Amino acid sequence: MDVMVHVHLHGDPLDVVVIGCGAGGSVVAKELGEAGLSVIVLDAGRRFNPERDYRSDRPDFPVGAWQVFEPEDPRRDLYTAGPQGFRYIRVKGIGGTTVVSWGVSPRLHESDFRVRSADGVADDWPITYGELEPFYTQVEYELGISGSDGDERNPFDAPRSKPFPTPPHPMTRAGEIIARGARKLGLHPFVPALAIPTKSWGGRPACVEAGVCGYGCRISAKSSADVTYVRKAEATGKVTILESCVAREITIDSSNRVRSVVFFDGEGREHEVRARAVVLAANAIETPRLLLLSISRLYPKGLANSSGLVGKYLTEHLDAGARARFALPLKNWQGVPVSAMIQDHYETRKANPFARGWLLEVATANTWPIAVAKRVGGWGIAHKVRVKELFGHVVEVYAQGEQLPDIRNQVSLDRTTKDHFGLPVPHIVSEPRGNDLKMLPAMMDSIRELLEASGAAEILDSWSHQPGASIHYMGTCRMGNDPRYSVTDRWGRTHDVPNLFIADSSVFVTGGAAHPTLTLMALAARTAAFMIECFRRREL
Amino acid sequence: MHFDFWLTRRQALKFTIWSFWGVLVLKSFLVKAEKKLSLEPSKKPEIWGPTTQGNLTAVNSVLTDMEVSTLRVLADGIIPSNKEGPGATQAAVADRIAESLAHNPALRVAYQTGLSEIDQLARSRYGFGVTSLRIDQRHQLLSFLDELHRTMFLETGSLVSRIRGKAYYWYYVKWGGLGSTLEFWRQLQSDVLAHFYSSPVAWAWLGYDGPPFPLGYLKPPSCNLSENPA
Repeated sequence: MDVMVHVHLHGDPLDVVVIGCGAGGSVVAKELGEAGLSVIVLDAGRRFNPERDYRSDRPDFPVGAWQVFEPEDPRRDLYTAGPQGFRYIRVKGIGGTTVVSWGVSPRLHESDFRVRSADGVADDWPITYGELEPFYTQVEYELGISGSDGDERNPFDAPRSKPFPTPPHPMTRAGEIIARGARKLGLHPFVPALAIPTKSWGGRPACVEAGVCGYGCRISAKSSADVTYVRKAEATGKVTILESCVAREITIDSSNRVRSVVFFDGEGREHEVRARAVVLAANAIETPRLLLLSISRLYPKGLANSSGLVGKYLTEHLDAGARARFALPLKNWQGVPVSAMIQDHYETRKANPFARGWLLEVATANTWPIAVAKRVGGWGIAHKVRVKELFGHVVEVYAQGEQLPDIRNQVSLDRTTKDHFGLPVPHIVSEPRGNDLKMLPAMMDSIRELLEASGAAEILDSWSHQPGASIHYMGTCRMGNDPRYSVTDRWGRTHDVPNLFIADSSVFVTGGAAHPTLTLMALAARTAAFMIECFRRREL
Repeated sequence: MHFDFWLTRRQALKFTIWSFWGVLVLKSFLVKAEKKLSLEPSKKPEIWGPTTQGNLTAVNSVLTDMEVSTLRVLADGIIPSNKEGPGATQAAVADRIAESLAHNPALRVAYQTGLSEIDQLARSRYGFGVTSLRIDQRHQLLSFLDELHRTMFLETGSLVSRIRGKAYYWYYVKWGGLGSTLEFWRQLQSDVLAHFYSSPVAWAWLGYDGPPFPLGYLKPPSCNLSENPA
């Protein structure tokens, strides 16, 4: 490395170093800490203080509300992209992107785990839905997930061992109007599972339907990782979280085991911390980047990369949407950002010229006066009249489709562009390919059909898949039983290095069409349980 | 005496004639386009009631009185008051912007420079400053800035529009020195919208409840006594 400021060797090895304190890393830290293991968690970003940093009590909050999530040095988040570009949206910091997510937390379907067997495309996961189900439930109860049971439940939901911890949110007026249109078409709308409890949960207040989840929840009602798993992890007294620390290399010893993690602290000083095991949970872009940066004699192509698949099969969600105006006043700034979902199109249909499917969701985000005025654009009387016409009357319908993994979609290192510490930045290539390109028009048709059935007065605009915009990045260190075709085993342990684990959405084999956060957290909980067992057996 | 010219006399004559025609065509093209900018000039008098303007002069120590007056006129052009509803004046937008400049020296300088440049532009086009413009002239001036900005920086459509954008750029920015004025126009437009639509005046007009926190929008529990005989 050409950057070597100062090296400090910490003393006795810790039990575990976790890299990344978002959805996956926080789950692992909490579970390991509660099992009595000593853990250090490194995160490249800062810690957020909801009351101080999320300014949604100010009259002009949409102006500059996102700035708190921006890095001090913009070079920290540099990346380059392939020919179609890539909009890389993430938050680096304690809690990761969960602090700005809308909290939509569905489970994958049973069929998502056996896509090859059922539909002859992509690959099967090495685990089944049934194996993951207890961990789904475990995470749902930590987060106080709200959702519909009984007659109001999602008829396509996979079997559940327990009901949702908290009742569903009330459907917003926008949700109701679209739901009515959906029923006319024979579809089955429901209030989706949200990581936003509807009653006090874990010492946090119930949601007050403020609708600004995307700028961070000022009262910590939303169950982002920083106010749930991170709090519990730190309460164990066994977990230390180091903010603004950027890992630059994972080193191994001569016996092919991880020895240490080398990282920069916030001042740019370099440190090395040794551990009995390392867990990578930096997201599906940064995790493969760090492995590719960790080159050694044993692993000249990158750590744990004997298969050559680290960074390959980057998968996201196909994304299409439309914004429509309704004549009825909707008060669309009130209530959760996503209050209705439809999964009738989720599974493969023989009549379709493509495999797999999508879900539809009704969203009412960015509906505040300033946001509407800026989106309308222009000035003068005409602008004012249009703002008045649109304010409180607009609904967005999104379709989120399953993108099939393709080896050409990948994360590699761009050695010509460096970040603020002189490290090569990720180069991201993601494009919709054959099956995806056939599915996208059908997704858009379903949106238009739904808006028309719901009585939309005017479709304002529509869009179809911009790479990266889904924010759901998966699959770059896929799990599998065969080390030739996968990076980790069924527990998230790398095939090559027995004390190196991955606990984020990198391990997904396919992405389904459902939002990935709950699944990646369930997988992280499962990996943590396996690690605890390994520590008990003294294998780590 | 003999001069060894690299053009013949005939070629030089041709070049001069074509250049002359070229300049004429370009000029007429730009003038024509500029006339089109004055879209639907509003000559209607303001019908909205008395303003709070008079009560809000104490806070503007950051800008001079003249600068504040210019800012008020421009802000009212961006969001005019009319029968549809209140405008920037009713929401005291100019005064709120002036207040916000107190803590942002860089922006304050940008405002002072930008307001002066727009005032100069008004004088060069109409013979007097912004505060003395009629409503239709103000509308014309703002339309001119907006159209120029959009043509040069935002439109990426047909070849013709791109060529027009380039021509405008060379004529108005490189030659005419309007670059910083257009940059300021964008800033001004954005700030006026932000301050107006974050004001209770605009909220009342739109029917908006106000910021999400601290209370949120959850309906309070029912207080119907007939349901609770105890």
